[in-house]
Amino acid sequence: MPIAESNDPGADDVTAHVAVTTRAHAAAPASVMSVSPNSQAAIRVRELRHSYGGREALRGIDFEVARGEILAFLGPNGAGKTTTVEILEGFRRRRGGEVSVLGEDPERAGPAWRARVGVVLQSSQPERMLTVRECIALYAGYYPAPLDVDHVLDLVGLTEKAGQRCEKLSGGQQRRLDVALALIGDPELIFLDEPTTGFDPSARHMAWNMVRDLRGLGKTIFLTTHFMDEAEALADRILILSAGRIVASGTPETIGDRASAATIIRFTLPEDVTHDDVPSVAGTMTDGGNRRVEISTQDPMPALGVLASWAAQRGYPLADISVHRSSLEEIYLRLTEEAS
Amino acid sequence: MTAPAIAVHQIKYDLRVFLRDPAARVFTFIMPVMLLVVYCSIFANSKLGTGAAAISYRQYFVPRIVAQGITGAALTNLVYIVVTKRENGALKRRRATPVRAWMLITSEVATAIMTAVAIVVALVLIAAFAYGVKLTGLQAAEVAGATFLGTAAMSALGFAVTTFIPSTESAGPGVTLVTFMLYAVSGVYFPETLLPHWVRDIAQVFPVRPLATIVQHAYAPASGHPNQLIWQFLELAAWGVGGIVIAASRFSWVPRHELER
Repeated sequence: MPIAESNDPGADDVTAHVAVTTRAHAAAPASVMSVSPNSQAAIRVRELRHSYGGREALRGIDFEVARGEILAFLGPNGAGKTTTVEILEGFRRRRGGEVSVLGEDPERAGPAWRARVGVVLQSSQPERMLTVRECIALYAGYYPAPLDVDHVLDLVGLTEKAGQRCEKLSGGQQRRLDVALALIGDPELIFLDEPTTGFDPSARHMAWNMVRDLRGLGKTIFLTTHFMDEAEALADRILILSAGRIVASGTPETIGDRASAATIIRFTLPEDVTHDDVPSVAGTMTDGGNRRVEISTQDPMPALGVLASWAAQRGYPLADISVHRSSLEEIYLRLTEEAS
Repeated sequence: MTAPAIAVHQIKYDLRVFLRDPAARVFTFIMPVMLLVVYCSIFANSKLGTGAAAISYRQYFVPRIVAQGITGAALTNLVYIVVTKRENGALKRRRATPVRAWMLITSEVATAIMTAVAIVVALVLIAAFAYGVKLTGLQAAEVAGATFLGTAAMSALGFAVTTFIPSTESAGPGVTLVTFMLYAVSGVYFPETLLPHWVRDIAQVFPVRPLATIVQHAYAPASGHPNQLIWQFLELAAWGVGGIVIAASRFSWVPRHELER
């Protein structure tokens, strides 16, 4: 399943990346770019397989992530998301297939590779007894060219908590500290594993803005999430995993044939008006009972125009009219149900 | 930073974390000091044994409490710290950075050594100046040697022990219980002349009694045979090597529950 097309949005962002991170890694991406278009992929996975005991967790998956791209990796619990991420991060040995992350096999990659990869783990509670600043400074010491601690504090919005012990942070603040620890080494690629689980809505939106800032810095982001709105808000591309297989991939607009899926127009007719009185429009009309009308159409705008002028001429309010496009969530549920 | 500089950087922070942990302070520092004060106050003038080999109760208990101090700093405390970090994901989090395993292990062991040295120095000084249990220069060197060998062996053993402990909750009580029993059968809390021979034989299999015997020899050279002393050293070293072997094959950087998925 070849996913990263040559006209991928990631291609442009590589240039931005070079421009922004002149400090540490400017040379690396520039030289990589000149080799071949294919090497622009930050992650390349071929026929990846894994199993636990006799249970197959990954049944041969293929995908690529372009540099500078935000990829959302979706799937129900037990689909194999965490297994995949841990293999990509170099925490788990795969049973089969090929994996290349920033040009290296994570199973064999050394500290130099680690310095280019930032990881936000699903649950980790780093160094309870240290302050936020100390904790970030500790991790800064591991990297050859770390970012400035104050800069990273500011980036994740923890400047005011810099002097606080890590154990006293709220859940959301701890996740932000995790992100800070992933950023301090100025990585090219960042794994975010369910970064907003347990956040309240305002904290989630702050986190989303942070991810957008990271994209602005040219980082490649591999985002694992349960939330469709999160994927829709952030991702350049979405990958849906179900029962160890990739069941769909595409942009938030096109995934699962979303763009070509029918739009549903629903409304209730006034009394004394029957379904036969409704003007004919492109699409199929169904009788929803109780004077309700449901029109399924590929071409919603002309249909709406016809309906609008008909209703206006006759003075029908059609107060409950709704236009519904398949949500990402519906597509996700359909695809993951089909697979399991 | 160069590799040794990163290791030193890590030690600075690990030491700071240790010093800020109230539980670690109480168990590692306060307990042995209190024990020393209590025992030296109770047994002011009594003698243990007869003839040339007779030693005072204070001379008996001070080395045993020193052995407990070393074990507490290097074994109990290291196990608690490493298991806690493993289970809350801090070890895994560190492995996701360029820092190398040997730097993290070196730092834990160095922290244990510094802690053990600090508690031994405190115990030796209190014993000497408050209770008149003194050491000559040569004897002090022997205590220092025992401290280093003991710490090295106990921390190697500590890494091995972490592999048998499934959770943070069991790290504190579990290790405390086991070491308490070892201290008891090794004669830390009462003279081992009161213990049946078979209990002493069991204690001799474990590392606390050999360590206590070595420190004992430093304080009262007449109380043991030099020949016997070599065996104590060898046994302690064997425990250390065994610990390294077990740790090398079983040690885990990630929480137990993640491994079994």
